Amino acid sequence: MIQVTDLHKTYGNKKNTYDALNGINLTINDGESVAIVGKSGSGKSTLMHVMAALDTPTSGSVQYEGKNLANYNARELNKFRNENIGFVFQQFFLKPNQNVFENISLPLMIKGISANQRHERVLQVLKEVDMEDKKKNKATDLSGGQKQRVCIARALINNPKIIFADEPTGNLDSTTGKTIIDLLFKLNKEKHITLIIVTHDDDIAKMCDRRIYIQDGKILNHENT
Amino acid sequence: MKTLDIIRTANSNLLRSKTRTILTILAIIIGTITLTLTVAIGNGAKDYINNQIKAVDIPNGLFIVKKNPNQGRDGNPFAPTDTLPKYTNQIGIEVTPLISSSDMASIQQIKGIKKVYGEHTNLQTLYVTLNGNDKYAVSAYYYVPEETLSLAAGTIPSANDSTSVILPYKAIKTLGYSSPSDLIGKTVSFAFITSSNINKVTGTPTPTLKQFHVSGVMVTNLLVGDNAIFPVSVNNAIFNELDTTPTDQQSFSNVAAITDSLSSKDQSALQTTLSNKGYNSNSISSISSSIQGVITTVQVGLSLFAAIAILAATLGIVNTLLMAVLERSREIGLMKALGMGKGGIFSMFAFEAISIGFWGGIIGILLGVGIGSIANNLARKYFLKGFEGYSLLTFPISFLIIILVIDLFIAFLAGAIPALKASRMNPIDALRVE
Repeated sequence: MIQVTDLHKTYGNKKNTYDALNGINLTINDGESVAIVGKSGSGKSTLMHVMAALDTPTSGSVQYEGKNLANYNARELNKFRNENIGFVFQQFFLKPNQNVFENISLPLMIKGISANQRHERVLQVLKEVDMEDKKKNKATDLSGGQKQRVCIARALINNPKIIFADEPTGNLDSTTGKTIIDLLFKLNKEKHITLIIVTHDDDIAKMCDRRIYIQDGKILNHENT
Repeated sequence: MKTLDIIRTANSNLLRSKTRTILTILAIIIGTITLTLTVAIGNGAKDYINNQIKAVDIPNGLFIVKKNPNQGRDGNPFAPTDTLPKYTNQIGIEVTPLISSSDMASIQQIKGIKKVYGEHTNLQTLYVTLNGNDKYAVSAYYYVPEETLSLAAGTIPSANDSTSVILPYKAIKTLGYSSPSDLIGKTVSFAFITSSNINKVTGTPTPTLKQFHVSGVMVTNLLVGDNAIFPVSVNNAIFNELDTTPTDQQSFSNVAAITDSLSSKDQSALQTTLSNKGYNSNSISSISSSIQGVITTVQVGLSLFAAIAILAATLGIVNTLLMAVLERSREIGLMKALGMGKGGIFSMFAFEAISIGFWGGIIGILLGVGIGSIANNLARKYFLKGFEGYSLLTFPISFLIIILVIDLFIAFLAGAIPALKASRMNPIDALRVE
């Protein structure tokens, strides 16, 4: 369970401040699929960053299973992200000089798992995203949809509890986008991974259990399916 | 992240912009070659001096001369005086005073001195001749029984052998032979003279001819030079024969002393005692170390220039890695988002720098040694012909390792700046970079 309490995030200096988050309260249950919807500049990305422990709030708290992220030191936060959170980004962020296999094993490598042990696990997630035949391909030689599959595999590799997907279909055509979204929801249903999608696409948002509309750093309204 | 994975990733990252990496390594290579060669030249010179000195070694030997009261100021024989010298009943003011029989006795009594040998430099050799007609100018070098000499051929005559001589290497060709062993056993005549044999009116010398049989031929050596070599007993015996004045016979121009095996502390204490009694003393090792000191100074000076070249090359490392950090900010952001700590990011870039330093260092050292070997061969063939036992450049493995360590260390320092910059990046900002 993720519990967000009175979250504020302020950017800028004393003279020029800008409130990206302005008192967000939110609870997300395990296994839920939630869409965070908003226009650009609404604060939806900042909310995701703070919830994913990539950024620290100015005030307020984010709690996982009752534990406040603010109490973790840098090393613990790194470990927390590495082991509990999977990221899927709009821009993929694949290493161009490495092949699919190496890209997917990155979180395991960061965790300090030896190359032998990585091998098995990578083959397993490659199967889950249906990319076994591309494991030797360079990341740059893949289509957009294939790239995003590799990203999902990379997000899955540590058996995360939560996947944060930041505009996962933003760089894909609608047909490919649909298959990626289907894959994400399949993982959500079958593996009970909490899925948090940041999007401005209403069609994707409507597929989620719950939609949270953000405007000017505040929650405009909740909508359940 | 495992260290092995960090090293692997760092190395694969280096290959991403090959040209840039190669150029950076090239700069390190040039610096390293320069450093390797300057160090090698210094070592070659030191080795040469060592070999030369070893060829005429006197274990525990000490050369003693009387201090010239007219020479030097404040105990420094090379410092100019500010007054005119006193007259001391000798012709010429630069002449070192003679060591009298009482001086000899007092030196002999100093603790640590085992044996003393006096030498009359007033006894001169004018020439050597094989057939009596062709005369060649030659000087003499007198050795003490404790001295070891490196011969090209033959044996060293015993200490009291008054009819044997060791000829200089040049004598082979001079006397019409081709190999050192050809000279062994031949009989040659030397013309000896002292100042008392010079006709006071005409100035014409009347030398005395003495016959010697050649027992050995000396290798070319810096310290002995082109001198004919006799036991010091020959010097004393012939001088006494030519100059019958008892006071002259008992006065020596210099003394070679053999000491007990002394620690360097005791050795310097002994030399201080000698100095207080009015004698200057020098051991072969101190001569050697003072020459080595001069070479080391020159070597360090040259190496500093080479070090500047390496330093300039490391700016290339800083530049290369700063560019890499900028290019790879999104990747750094991603790795941080996926849980990589500051330390991991820092090590990755630091290893890239160290890797550049390593390859630049290794290749530079190998090329340096290669160039050095070619230079050595050319030198031996041309301008160092006849310098026995001299390599222009020598490459002790310990020095090569030190050079490599210097390369790695400087590369690490250079890499630390960009590595620190990368490790401090904020993951969100880094991911946002377009």
